[in-house]
Amino acid sequence: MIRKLKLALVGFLAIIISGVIGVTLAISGLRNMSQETDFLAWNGSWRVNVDMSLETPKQRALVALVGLFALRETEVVYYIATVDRDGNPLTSAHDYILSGTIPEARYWSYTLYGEDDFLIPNKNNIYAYNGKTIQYAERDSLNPELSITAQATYNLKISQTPQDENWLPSGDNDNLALTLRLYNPSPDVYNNLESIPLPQIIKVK
Amino acid sequence: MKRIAMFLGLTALLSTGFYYLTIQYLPNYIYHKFYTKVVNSGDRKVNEFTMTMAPDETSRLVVKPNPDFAYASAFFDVSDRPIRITGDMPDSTYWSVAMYYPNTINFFVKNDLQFDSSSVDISLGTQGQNTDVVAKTDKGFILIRLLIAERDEYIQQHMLSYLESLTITYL
Repeated sequence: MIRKLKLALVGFLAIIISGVIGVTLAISGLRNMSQETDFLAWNGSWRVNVDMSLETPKQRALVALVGLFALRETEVVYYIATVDRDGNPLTSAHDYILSGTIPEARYWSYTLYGEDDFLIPNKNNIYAYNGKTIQYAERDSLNPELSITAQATYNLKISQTPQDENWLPSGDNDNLALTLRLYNPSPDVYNNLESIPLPQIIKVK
Repeated sequence: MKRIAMFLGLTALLSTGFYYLTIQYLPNYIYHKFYTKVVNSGDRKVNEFTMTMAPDETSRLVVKPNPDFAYASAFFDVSDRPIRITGDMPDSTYWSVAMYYPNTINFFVKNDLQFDSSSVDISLGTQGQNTDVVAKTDKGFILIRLLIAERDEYIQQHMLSYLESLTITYL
């Protein structure tokens, strides 16, 4: 009787320990996989999903974990940056600047997320910039809409402290994730996912 | 010594099993968690749309929300009968109808440019049912995205009226 109890206890212990090990390894493996995997490509600091068919269990698990209800790549291309130009993790401890041009897409936006993958609380309720809300450099003050050409440029600033324009508040986060969404991008984007011009994320402070 | 080796071997074997089970069923688990949270958060019924305005820092149901969108969402169940989604959407901005399986795969998406007009009229059912969209599972999630690029309250309210026109009826 005691022997059976002992065996049952050992079995129970093995299941609990195995469960903790297995689940932890799977989740941490998926988190690491978001840095280096077959279905992601890199464009500077930005990684991009090249295939959202989610045919393999690992692909499905990864997207469910970090981008639940994402759309197929035929509809949206998601570029995600968690590191700066030098490969260091994005963090609220530093300020960053991005200088970019208008991506070839019907709608595009930059959104900053905290380490919990949610929007970062801030007094001004600023979470994102898109083609209509971003302030362009060198725009014509009399005809601001007319000055927005394909060559128009903008500077985006990530910082804890308020900036003069295009400020994305970074709150208090050890890790940040910046997402660039391209809805209905041009064929050129699909053909050159790893080489279309995307802004470098430069640490300035 | 032999017992310790057996214990370690069993633990390694079970850990591998738990690892693959986690990878396999994590999407379904996350979806179920989301479903439970949403259903418990209010009077939410299956096959009925709920509107969500542009997400902000308090929106914590789905990771990486896009604050430029308003959403109409519904859990669908076509186990009894197929359903029909209808409504009038704007013709001046991006919107799309997307459908997901409980394992979170996006099995259908169609945007405003792919519709013949700004009217939505889609039937959804499972195999054997004569519908526009045929799902492999009888349950899942419908998410309609409506782009509101400006943060103007008047525009947001105006756009919300389009989402409010969306309905689900049984065929």
